[in-house]
Amino acid sequence: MKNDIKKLSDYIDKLNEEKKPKEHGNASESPELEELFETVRMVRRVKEPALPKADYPKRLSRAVADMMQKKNNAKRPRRPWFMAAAAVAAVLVIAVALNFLVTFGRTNIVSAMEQAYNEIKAYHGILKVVEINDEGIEISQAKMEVWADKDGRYCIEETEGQQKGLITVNNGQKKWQLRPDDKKMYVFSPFPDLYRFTFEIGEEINIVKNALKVETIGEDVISERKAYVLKVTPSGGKPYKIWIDKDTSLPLQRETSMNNAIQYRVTYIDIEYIDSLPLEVITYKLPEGFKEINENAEQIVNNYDEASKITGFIPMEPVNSLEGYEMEYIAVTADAKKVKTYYSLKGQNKRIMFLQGKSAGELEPAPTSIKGKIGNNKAEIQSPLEADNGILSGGVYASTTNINSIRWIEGEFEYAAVGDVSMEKLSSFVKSFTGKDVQIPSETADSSEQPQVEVEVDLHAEENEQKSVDAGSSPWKLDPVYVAQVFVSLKISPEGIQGEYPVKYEDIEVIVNNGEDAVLQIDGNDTPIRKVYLKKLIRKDNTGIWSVVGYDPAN
Amino acid sequence: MTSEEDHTEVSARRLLIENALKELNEEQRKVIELRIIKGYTAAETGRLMKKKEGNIRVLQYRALRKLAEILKANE
Repeated sequence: MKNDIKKLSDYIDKLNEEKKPKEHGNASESPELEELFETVRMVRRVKEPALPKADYPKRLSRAVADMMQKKNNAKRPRRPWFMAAAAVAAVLVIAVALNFLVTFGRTNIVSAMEQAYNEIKAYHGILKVVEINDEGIEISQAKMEVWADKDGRYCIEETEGQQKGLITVNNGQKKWQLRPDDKKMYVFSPFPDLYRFTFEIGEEINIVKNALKVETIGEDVISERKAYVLKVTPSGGKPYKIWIDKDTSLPLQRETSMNNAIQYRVTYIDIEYIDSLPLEVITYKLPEGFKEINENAEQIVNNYDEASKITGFIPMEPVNSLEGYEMEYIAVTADAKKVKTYYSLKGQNKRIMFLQGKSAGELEPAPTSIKGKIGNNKAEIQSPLEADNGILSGGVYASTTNINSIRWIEGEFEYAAVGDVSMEKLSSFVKSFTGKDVQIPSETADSSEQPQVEVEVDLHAEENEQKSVDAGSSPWKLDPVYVAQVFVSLKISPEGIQGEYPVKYEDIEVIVNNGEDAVLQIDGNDTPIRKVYLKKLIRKDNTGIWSVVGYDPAN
Repeated sequence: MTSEEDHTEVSARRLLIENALKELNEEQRKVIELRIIKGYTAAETGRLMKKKEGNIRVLQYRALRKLAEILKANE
């Protein structure tokens, strides 16, 4: 048993180092241990892609895309002598346009994609997934019928492939998955929806928009549609190719780069843009002979009065009208302890969930959080939400990268707002809901405050550190508290840290964290440093490592 | 997400795992989150959870056994 415990831990370490453990597939291991290895591998698959948060300004139009189309459709000149001149002119215009496209291609294509997405309401298509090996042999893996709209609702049915018949639906109120093989219908919470479906058009455009580099590398014909081919270097991942329909400016196909001699291509072999989703595809109905499996049952209620009868407390109602938000529904958790009110942002695929319940004591903010205030009460601000303490417990938010939260205790009640929206939007929502001032230090604090002592940073070394973190090593470099703890501890013990750190993790307080700059304060008397200044020097999103750029001595 | 995982089957598995994780107690979920999802070492996890490295190894072993049982029951 003791040996198994060590073997399992070593196995996890090997996987974390992105190395193939020698125990992998080793028949000499006990079946029980092999089952635990398999469980570890399954859990690792929960890791979400790291999506950058930086929001690039919308500043360009689809002028070039339109211009290209107009030039292609140009009328034929009447006089033959003019034809040659027009042809030369057209070639010149196209050459200039292509040059323009190559030089400014990224912003124009991206802008055209955004604009085009703004103009559609919903879509319906057939998605094909193909696996390609390093010899170029293609194997069709699956075909899926996709129905999706811009409010985040979707219905995906696998029509060919290993999971044929599998249907996954999220209609905003409920998420469910119908599995015909075992005649079961699994019901899940609709928010947060940690994994939706592959090649969701809005999400693809977001990734391209926030990519480090986008290049136009050619043209092609996909599903009888002319397309631009772009090479995208995403923030936190390998480069991939995406095909953009010339007529609609919307994505048609994506091909990953080769990874372990395998690459994947997903293609909309057919797609139409529609006004709304048919009701029958997003209406929940348990088919005859199927069993509903709902382990996180939330009871939907009509109003707060019904909620109070179930929970035994009177929930807080919004003090002000919540303009720009639409209340979707109110639900009470299975244990009858929490009331959740779900709001959506009108016209956007964004949601905020407002939780309330009885408090179990004082607020103990997560160490990585920023400490703010709601009225006179201290609040825990998390951007992104990492620690699910108090009323947030049980949410499994840890693998997400784009969910923010504000949590506080007021009297005998605990509240939290959780949403896939910016912190600014979330705080304005809380202000409207509660009628109280929301103070978030990172918004008010001066992040440009200069340290008394500057720390010289070796950018080349930091770039290598970033690569190593991207590969799964030293994840603590993403945690500002940990980075500050190691820095201060090494100042106290320059020869190295053995055993406990001389500065405790819980004695470090985040006083500024705007995602790019952070200032942390070290409490207590046994520290030579009072403040540590951190910066994301290599990458600004949630996958970027923190580097120490300065500090203030304790005296 | 790596390219190998880009498939609907993965989405189904993810939902099952996420659901199963919710059935663990807070300490068990935390140790799996830190050790496997976030990739901290046992020593780092110990510091974050205020436990000894050896306790983390035992805790993760028990948590994974429980998780495997839940996943098997839900299959």
